[in-house]
Amino acid sequence: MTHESNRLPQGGQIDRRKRISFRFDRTNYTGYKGDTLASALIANGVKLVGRSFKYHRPRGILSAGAEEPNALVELRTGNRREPNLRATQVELYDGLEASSQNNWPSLKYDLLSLNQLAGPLLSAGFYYKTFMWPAKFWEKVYEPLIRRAAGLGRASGLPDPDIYEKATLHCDVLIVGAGAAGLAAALTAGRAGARVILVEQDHVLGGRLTDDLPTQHQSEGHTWLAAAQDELRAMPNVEIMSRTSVFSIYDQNAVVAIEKVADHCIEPAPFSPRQRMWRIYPQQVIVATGSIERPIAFANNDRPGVMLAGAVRTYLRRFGTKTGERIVVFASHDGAALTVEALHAAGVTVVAIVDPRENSSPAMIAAAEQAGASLFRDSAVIAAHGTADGVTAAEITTQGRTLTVQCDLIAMSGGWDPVIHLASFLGQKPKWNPEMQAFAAINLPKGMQVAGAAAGHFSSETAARSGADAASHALQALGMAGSQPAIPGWQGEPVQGSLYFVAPSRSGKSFVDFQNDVTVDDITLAQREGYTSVEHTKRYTTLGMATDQGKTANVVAAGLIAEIRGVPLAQGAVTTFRPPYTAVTIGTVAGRATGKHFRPTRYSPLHAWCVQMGAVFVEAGPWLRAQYYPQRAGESWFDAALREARQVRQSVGLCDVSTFGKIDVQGPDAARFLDFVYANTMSTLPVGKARYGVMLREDGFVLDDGTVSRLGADHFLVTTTTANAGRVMQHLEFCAQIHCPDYDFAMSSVSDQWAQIAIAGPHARDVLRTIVDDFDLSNEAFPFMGCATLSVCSGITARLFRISFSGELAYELAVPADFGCAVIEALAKAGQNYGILPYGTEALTMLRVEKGHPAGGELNGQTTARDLGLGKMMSSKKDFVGRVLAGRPALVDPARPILVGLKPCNADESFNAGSHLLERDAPKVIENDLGYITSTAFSHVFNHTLGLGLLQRGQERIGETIMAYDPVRSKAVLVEVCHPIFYDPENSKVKS
Amino acid sequence: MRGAAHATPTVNAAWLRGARCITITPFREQQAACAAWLAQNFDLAWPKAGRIVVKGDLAAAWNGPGDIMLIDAKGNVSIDQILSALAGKAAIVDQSSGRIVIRLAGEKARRTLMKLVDIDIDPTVFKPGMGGITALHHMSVGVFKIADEPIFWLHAARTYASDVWHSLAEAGEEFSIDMQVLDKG
Repeated sequence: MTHESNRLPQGGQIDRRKRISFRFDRTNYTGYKGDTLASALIANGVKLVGRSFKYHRPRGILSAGAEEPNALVELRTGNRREPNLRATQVELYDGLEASSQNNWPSLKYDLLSLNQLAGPLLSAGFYYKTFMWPAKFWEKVYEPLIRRAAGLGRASGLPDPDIYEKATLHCDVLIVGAGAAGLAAALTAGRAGARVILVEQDHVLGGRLTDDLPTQHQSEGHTWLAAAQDELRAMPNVEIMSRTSVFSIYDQNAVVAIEKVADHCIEPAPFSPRQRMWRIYPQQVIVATGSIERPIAFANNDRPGVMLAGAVRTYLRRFGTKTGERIVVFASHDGAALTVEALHAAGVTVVAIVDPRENSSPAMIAAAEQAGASLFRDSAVIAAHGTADGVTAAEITTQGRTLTVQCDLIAMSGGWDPVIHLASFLGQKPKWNPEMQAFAAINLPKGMQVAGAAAGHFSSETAARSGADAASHALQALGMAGSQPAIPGWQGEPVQGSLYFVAPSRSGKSFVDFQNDVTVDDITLAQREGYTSVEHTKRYTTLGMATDQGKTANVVAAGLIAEIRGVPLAQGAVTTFRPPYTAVTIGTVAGRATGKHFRPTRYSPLHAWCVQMGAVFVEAGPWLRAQYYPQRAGESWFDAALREARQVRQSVGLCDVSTFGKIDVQGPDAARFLDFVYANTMSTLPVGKARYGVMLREDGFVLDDGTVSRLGADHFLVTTTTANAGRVMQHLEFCAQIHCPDYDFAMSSVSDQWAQIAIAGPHARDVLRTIVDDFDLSNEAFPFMGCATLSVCSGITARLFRISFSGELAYELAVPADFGCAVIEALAKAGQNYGILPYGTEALTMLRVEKGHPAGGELNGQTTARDLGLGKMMSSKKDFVGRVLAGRPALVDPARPILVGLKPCNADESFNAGSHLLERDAPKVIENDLGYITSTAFSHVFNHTLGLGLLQRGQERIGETIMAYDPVRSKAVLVEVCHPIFYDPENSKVKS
Repeated sequence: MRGAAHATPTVNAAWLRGARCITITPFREQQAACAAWLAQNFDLAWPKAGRIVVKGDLAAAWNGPGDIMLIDAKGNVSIDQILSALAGKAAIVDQSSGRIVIRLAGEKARRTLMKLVDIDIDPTVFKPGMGGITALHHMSVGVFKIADEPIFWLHAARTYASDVWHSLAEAGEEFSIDMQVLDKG
């Protein structure tokens, strides 16, 4: 256990009554509630926390927030291990276990730091230049090697035990960021009664409010912050969401945020999520996301112990910990004076202030005098000296000479950059604002405003005022009004200074992008080699990539590029902002939609009965359909399906056909509408009759087939295939609303209302007869293609259709879904004497292929009615959807492949769906392709494989022998072209 | 009951098995006649778009343009009565077997529902009598607010009932959701 040697005896917003134990790299440490992992490590004197991506250079903590590029750690162990978390954002909890990453064998002695020796070789564009030849090495050698070397941290590789979920909120005003601006905005909007959501990524509110106030205003700031929080928490119309980060925004200001519900706990509470993704739909958005301090590039500026000046202040004031004993402050603006003041107040020695400006400001001079620090004007830190354990000295150039100042920390600041990611995610390019000395968000989406430091109001007072003003504007847009909170006069805070990006050159690497190891030299080389656009520079050097996305690097790089090119920064640019702002776990994106519940499953009302019968199920779109019913252990699908098909042909079988789409169409214009949507005529259908129908798309291709039954003069029932049920309903709705708005009829899906059972086989009538209530099933009274409403099983309302997909005498019986299982059980019982069996989709396919009925393989969206041999169904007496475009020359070309039957010349041979059809001796090349096989099935009737296929000039070729070639299995089989209806072409069975 | 985060359930879901759902879609110029019949026979006003009119266990819920769904939680309404009364005036379709009706109630009912649907159900804007058809985990559901307590009624397709029920269980498990099947409401 180490001692918190850097912890100040008092101060900070940590709870000193609650001590916390944690481990980093297998060493025990302590901290306090309210600490981050970074602040606790600093308090314990830990400077070295990670190794850099490319060169494995030792790295320390640079910042105190989301912008941290160096201190990436792995958190937790086992199946909860998570890589690449910023130590600056990890809230400390008792039992926390973290480890550094990207090193071997240890953080201190990392063998791969030898990469630094190869530094001159690993310049920008190294991969592009090096791995060009030999070309064939790329796929087999280079790419695998690069992939192995790439990446930071290790995923657990185990199933995540935690719950992730999604939820939705709506509000009038969404305020992103609860610093001075966000709080003032929330108070203004909240007081007006607007529904307000205030989102803060940190676990405490206030942002930099208290860090950035001069010492004399500290207590005033705390009081204001506490009062603001109290008032907001008391407002029922204000929802405060801390530990929540807005990571992206989409059209109409739809915002997504991630709430770290339980990341601050060792594990989530039982049945509670670890993280939750919020979809937030606000009327108005106020982006009050603050700003990020800009580093300065100088040699070895990545040494542990080089830190952003604002972060030094945060660790002092918020976490009550000092970051060093002897500090050099290197800053080009007056903000650093606050750090000097805070350090001095905490009893930390500031040995030197290095200001690159020719004339330091009064604020800086006063701070130096107060702290007793040497002030070097018109000077620069040109190098940090030290080891992996930290900085030992700063090398300063001043007035033409170089001197070395012993220190253990260099606090740097090149100014502040507004966090404008959210304001830019929708495609708006930020523009350089000379007054702000930063890139500013412009052309904001409707309903969005930027406030506070994110809008260039860098002092707490001006930030708060701009937040309140933004809220007033938002209220105005909402037709509301409210009073702004009183904002104390916290004047005296320093603002911006001069632009300063890169210190004079000296040997040693000067880093611009710490996370991706991109140096001043890399960017300079990219410019020299012509990659002058910032987007090209990014791709060439890896600047601004990965989880960091250039938060601290992009503007320094833009400044450097402008300097190299000799153009003003106003002509410069930063790379496109892309979501997410900070990394988002895949678990949160998936939410609850994982495993079996990745998507909803649709169960037939007869599912329970199918399970009872031992069905093996197959996914058919969202449905689970009974595929086959093995009767003994180990019975194959093929044997089971063949047995089931045989039973249907020889006696009787039952099939669950509830999954077919069913659409109820009623009204005076119902028949007229069906005439319009079907290629064939439906208005002539007598009541009590069903008709096969073909529906075309607007482009003339077949959309779906099915039956239409006329239940009454103005009442029809349309059936569709299982696969196309939703699509047909959508199509009919479109036709009803767009093409036929004046038709008087109503349409509704009744697919869920009715369980439907096919009873097929020579004994179908015998079985059915036992359950119908007083209904004449004779062929004369209820012939083929009849339909009727009746009752079964002593009073259950039912609909009966004498239609057949199998080619046998068959009925489809529909009963309300609640009664489905009871009725099919009654049928099964009634059929016992006939050996009745359930049959699944495999047997169904065998039966329908024998009968030549088109299904999924043939209704594939690329076939016309004519292709399927249904050309004569297209009425010439009426208009219908698809009629005109079905007449396009290409669609009536006689050379189009049309539906044919195929059987093997040698009955012992089989062929597969997808095989291509070629002349029997033709070379197997695409130029000789004549068509393809759409469906195959083994036929117990014929005792060999049968197929349906689409073949050029198919009708003329009946009787010819051609080749079916399966390029996947390299299998060629000679097949005979035949009529697609193999079984009972006279249709005598179905009419029996 | 699922969950153990709370000692007692703070949300409960009840599948009102046996509830009747009948859609009434008036033909042209027949809505007034249908509305009059609804008022006379069930004391229910014709619901406007996005609204539900409730009287005890009976409700008339908007179900899409020109379409309402009569929901009887107790399952007593007779379709034959409606068919004979409104013959030629409206398309009457029995969906009682095709839809399931779920009552979601309790202190955390809204927090549970917030995880499932995207519509704004904040009590300040989503008042009793309001609702609509929306998506729940890619499934179409009707969501209506019946009372301020709060009580919501959901109706969903029967063939997706298993997933709707599962989604409710998951969303409510941190609130120890109590889930039960109530026959005839």
